[in-house]
Amino acid sequence: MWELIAANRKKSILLFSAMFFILLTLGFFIGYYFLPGEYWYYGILFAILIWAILIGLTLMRGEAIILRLAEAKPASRERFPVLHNVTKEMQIAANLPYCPDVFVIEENAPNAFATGRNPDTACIVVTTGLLAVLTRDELQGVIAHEMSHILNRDVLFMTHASVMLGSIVILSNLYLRGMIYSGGGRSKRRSINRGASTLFILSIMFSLLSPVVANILYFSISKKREYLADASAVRLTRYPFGLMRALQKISNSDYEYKTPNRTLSSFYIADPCAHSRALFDFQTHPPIDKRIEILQALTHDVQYLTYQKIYSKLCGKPGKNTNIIPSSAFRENGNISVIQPSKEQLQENPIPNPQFLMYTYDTKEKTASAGILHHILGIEPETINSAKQTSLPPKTHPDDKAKAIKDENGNPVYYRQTNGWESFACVCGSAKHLSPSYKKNNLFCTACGSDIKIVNYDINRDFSTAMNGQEKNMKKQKIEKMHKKA
Amino acid sequence: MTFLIILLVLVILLAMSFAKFYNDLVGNRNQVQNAWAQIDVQLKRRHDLIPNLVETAKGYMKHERDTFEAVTKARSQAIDAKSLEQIANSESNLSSALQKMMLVVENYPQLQANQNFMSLQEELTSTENRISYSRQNYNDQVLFYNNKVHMFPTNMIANMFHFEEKSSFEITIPEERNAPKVAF
Repeated sequence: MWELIAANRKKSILLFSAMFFILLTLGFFIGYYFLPGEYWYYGILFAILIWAILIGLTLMRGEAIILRLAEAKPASRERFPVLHNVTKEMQIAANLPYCPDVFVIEENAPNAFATGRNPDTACIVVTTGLLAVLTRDELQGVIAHEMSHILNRDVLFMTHASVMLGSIVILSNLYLRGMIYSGGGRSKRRSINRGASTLFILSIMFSLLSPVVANILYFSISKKREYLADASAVRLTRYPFGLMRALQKISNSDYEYKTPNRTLSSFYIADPCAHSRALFDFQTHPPIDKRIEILQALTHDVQYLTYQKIYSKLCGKPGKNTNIIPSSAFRENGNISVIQPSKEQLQENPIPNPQFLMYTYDTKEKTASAGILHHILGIEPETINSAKQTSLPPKTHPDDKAKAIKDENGNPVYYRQTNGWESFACVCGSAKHLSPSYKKNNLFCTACGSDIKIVNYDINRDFSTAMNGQEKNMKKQKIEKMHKKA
Repeated sequence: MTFLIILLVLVILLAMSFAKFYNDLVGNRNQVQNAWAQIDVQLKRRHDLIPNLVETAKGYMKHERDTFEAVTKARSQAIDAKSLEQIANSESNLSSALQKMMLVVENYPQLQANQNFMSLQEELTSTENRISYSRQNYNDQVLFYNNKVHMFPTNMIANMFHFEEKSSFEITIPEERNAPKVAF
């Protein structure tokens, strides 16, 4: 562990010096063009001052600011006992001195991030949507990933790097705006001087490019750290399948992050802005498919060396350095083999904790008589875009018992077993998904073209039609069991 | 004169590295002790949890006296255990007794629907996980420490100051989650 931190520190120092150089150069240009001749160095001081103010604010109130930006609230033990327990378990596995505080965001899109300057003040934040779709083993994987960020001091790095990035963006904006409003600043007066005009063009180029370069520097390292955190996470849980399934569920989720904060997007386990990211925007995260693929290949042991080998095989290009894990971490021996899934993990259940999903209502604005605007409850969003929402739980294959059967006339029919989200297989075998608000009596299968009759859920339903004795009993028992559980 | 200075510098360097190796060893040994304390805390937590669990379950499972007795007996043995070997054995027994009880519980849906029992069950699951993770951490720390004790140059200091090799802690549970038979 300690070797990892040391190796990370060296890289971080290199990155920060590069970014700091960019910052100082920007300051120099500002001073050179907007301040009278002999006071040019005040520009550099100004740049350092902006950075110092930002870093001071972050160091004093960093966590609070980030938590507020993300609209995170402390998670109560009563409502989220599993979350608290899993965090404590991972703290023990990671050998951290203190257990990080846990926070939740009321948000249906599954996601998570960690923040805090050092392991003592670290916080782990998850969305309620994440808790809804993940089983205990999968949640362990995600929390272990966040715990690894804390353990590898990634959180500290990210905080400092984003402050640096922020100040560079502010300064380059200031410079360019100043140029536009002052019509070229001092350079006009110096237009005779050839050298100054070359410098002027250079400075414009520099201030345009510096945020881009800083971004590239920042994200090139932050991407590697995601892989590293994955590798450390599976070392803690010894169960790569859990994190893999969690990443699958996160990337397949159809809920979009309602109010993603772009400045925070690189903190999350998966990019919350992925849905709305433009073509030339920077990717803050490595492709999630690649991460899943690597985890899938970890079938026997979870040593760092194995992870590195698989990474080089899957993502490496010949002749390119593909080291994501410092080689000092490979000096480990002992038994670190993969463990078996828990009992809960073996039960296929698309939404293990539906109580954490929010059924939000849209509000509409309506003008009242005196011209006062007031908000009224609108329609449930699920019924508006039910086509989209029905695909949750997405891509989870329904279990053998839930499938459409043929009635006495040979027409396919499906009996709903709950009022909630449901997946079932059509007679042709393709997976179908029903949302709680799906109230229609039929569903058209695009794969085989048959019209499946949907019989709504009713606890006292008559099973005499379309089912033989055995199936009837099985369904009845299942429903009774579910009813008791509820 | 220069020879003396070189000698002095060498001696100081030697003493400094000596002190560093010694401190590292002490630090590692403390880490091992700390990790052991963590296992102990979690085992105690399990011992404290069991009476509550048994009390809640008893109300629903009137005809399972043997199962409860096995658990209670295993618990008291685990509390009395002193040596490392005794602890490992008695905790293994307790784990398997608890596992048997939880299997029987599955026949009592009413009990499984009980809110109090559900939260106790969650605590038990978490405690079992904590025990296995603290054991994992302890064994990691022991490995790290033992490597230092045996490897050059720290082994010289370890021999001089009697840093002894530690043994790892294994609880064998019949149904423990070990290496999978199915490849995913």
